[in-house]
Amino acid sequence: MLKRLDSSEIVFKIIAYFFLTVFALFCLYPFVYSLSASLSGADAMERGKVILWPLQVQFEAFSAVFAERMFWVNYANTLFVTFYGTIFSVITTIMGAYTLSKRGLPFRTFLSFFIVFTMWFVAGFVPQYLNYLATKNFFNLFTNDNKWVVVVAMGMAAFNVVLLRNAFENVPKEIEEAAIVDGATESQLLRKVYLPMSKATIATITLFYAISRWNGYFWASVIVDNANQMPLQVFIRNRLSEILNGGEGAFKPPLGANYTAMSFVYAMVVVAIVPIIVVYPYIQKYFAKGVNMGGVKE
Amino acid sequence: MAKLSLKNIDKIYPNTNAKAVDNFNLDIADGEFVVLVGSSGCGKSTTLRMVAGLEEISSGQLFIDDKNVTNAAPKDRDIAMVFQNYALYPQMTVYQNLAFSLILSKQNKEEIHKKVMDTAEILGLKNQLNKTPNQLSGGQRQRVAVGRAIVRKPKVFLFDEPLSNLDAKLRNSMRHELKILHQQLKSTMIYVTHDQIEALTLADRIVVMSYGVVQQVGTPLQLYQYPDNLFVASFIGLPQMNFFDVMVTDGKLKSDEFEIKLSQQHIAVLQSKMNENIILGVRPEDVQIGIDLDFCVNIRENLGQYTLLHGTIGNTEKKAVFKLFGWTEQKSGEKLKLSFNSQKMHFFDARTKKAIR
Repeated sequence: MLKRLDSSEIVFKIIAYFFLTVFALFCLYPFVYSLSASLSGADAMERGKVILWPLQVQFEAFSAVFAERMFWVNYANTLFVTFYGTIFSVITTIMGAYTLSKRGLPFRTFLSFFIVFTMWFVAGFVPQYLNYLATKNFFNLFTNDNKWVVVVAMGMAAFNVVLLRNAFENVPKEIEEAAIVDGATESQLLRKVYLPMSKATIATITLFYAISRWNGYFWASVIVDNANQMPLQVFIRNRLSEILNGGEGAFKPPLGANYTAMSFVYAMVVVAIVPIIVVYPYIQKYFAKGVNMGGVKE
Repeated sequence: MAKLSLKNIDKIYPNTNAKAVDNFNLDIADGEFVVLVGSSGCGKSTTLRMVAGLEEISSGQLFIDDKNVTNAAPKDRDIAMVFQNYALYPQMTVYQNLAFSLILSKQNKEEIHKKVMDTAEILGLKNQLNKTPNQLSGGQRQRVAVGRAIVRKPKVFLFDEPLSNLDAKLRNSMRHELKILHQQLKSTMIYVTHDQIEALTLADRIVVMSYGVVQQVGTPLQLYQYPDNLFVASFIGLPQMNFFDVMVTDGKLKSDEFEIKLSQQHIAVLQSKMNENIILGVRPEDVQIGIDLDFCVNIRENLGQYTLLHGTIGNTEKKAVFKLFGWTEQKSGEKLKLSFNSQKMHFFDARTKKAIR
C-alpha cells in the first residue's frame, strides 16, 4: 500500500527535487555547452549566439582536432599516465589500507593519524614541488621520460586510504578467521578475501584516481618540459592560452573554414572526456550494494 | 582422526589480570565428541579458539597426536572450524566455498572436484553448488559451513556454537545431522555451545566451564546424575534443579518449609555435616505426590508428555518447579502434598558448594 504523504513531506520533496534538478542542470550545462560550441558554426560563435544548442552545425572543428598530430601524442601520454598512475595509486592504497586495517599492527593509531593529518593540513606547494623534483631527479638517473615522474610522484590520496581501510575493517572477522583456518596466507587473505569483498570501494577509488590522473594538469605542466611527453590537459591548456593571448603561433582556422579557434578547443575538450564517459558505466556496476550479503549471519 | 591433549592451558588477555581460561586440562581420545558448555563469557569459545590457533595460548601446552602445536599456525594444525555465523565467503559460490581450502593446499583439479562432489552429496548440497551464500537459507548456509570443514578431512573438527543462529526446528534437525555425521566420519570433534540440550544429545563427554575454570568433565549421564558442584547441578537439566537450604539434624533434613527423614545411606553420607547447614538439590522430575511438603501451584504448563508446575513451598515465598508425568489439571492456588525421591536427592556443602557424597 502506498504511504500517504502529509503536506510538509510533499513541500519538502518538491523543494528537494527542485534544488537537485537545478544542481544537476548546473553540472550538465558545461558538457552540453562544450559539445554545442564545438559543433557550432563560426558566425554563431563569433556573435555569441550559442547558449545551449549548436547553431549552424559543422564538424570541421573535430576534423581539425583529428588531424592534429600533437593532440594524439599528448592523448597517448594521458592514457599512459592514467593507466599506470591509476594502477600505481590503487596498489599503494590497497597496501596502505590493508596494513592499517589490521588491529594488531604496532603504532596503528599513530600511523592512521599520520595519514589522516595530511587530509586536514595540506603541506603546500613547496614541499610538493620538492617531492616532484626529487622523484624527477631519481627517475632521470634511468630515463628521460618524465611521464614516469608524474605516475609515481602523485602517489596516493589519504582520503582513499581511509576509505579503503574502513571497507577492509568491515570485512567480518570470522570470514578472515575462516580463511586462516582454511590455510590462507596473508597475501591470499588480501587477494582472495579482502579484495573481492571490497570491490565496490576499490571501484570507487579506482574511478577517483583515474579521473584525477586523466584531468591531472598542474604538476605535469611544472615537471614535464618536453612537448612530446606532456599530457593532454597541458596541451589543451597551452592551445587555449595561445588563442586567448592571440600570439603568433596561436591556432587559427584555415581561410574559408566554418569554425572558430574556440570551437577547435571545445572539440578537443569533448574528445578528451570521451574515455571517462565510456569507462564510467563499466565501473558503476561495482557500486551496486549487497555484494557481501549472506556471508555471515548479521 | 586424532587425539588431543590440553595441558595446564591459561589465557590472559593483554591489559587484563583475570584469566579468561584458567588451568585447562583435558585429554580427548581419537574420534571422541567433546562438548564445551557454559554460560556466556565462561571461556569455552576462547578455549576452542586456542585449539584452532586463532588465539595465542598464554601458558600451557597443546598436543595434537602427540605433536606439540602450542605455537603452530592454524594451517599447520590440520583442524577445521565451523563458525557461529557461518563465515562463508560471500563472493564465492557454494562450490567455490567448499573448494577454497583445497585450492589453497594446491590439490589437483580432479581431486578437488571429487571431494567437493562427495561432500555435497553427504550434506545434500548438490543442487546448491552454483548458488552464492545470499541465495541460501540459514540451514543451507550452515550446511555449507559444515561442508567446508569436512571436505578437508582434517584431524580435528571444531564447532563454535554452529546452530545458535538457526530456528528451533532447524536446530533440532541439524543436531541430528551432526550426530549422524560424527558417526559416519568417526572424527575427533570439539563443540562449543551454551545449549545444554545440544551438549547432552551430541557429546560423548561434556566439559562444563564457569569463569574460565573447568567445573566438571564427564559423560552426559555422569553430569546429570552426579554433578560435582552446585554450578554443574544448576546448569545441567531443564528446568534446573531446585535447591533448598536445609539443616542436617538427628536423621532428618530440616528447613523452614519442610522436614524429611533420611535413609541410613544418606545418614552415613551426611555424618560429617551433622547440625550444619547444607544445600539440598532435587531435580523437578524427582518428586511425586506424597506427604513431605506443601506446594502451592502458581502456574501450570502442560507440555503433553509431562506437566510443569511452578509454585511456592509451604507458606513461604520459596519458589520451586516440579515435573509431573502425564497431563495434569492442577489450578493456580491449588495446594499439593509432595515427596522427594530419596534415591535422587543431591547434597552440597553450603560453603564450598561441592557435592557431598
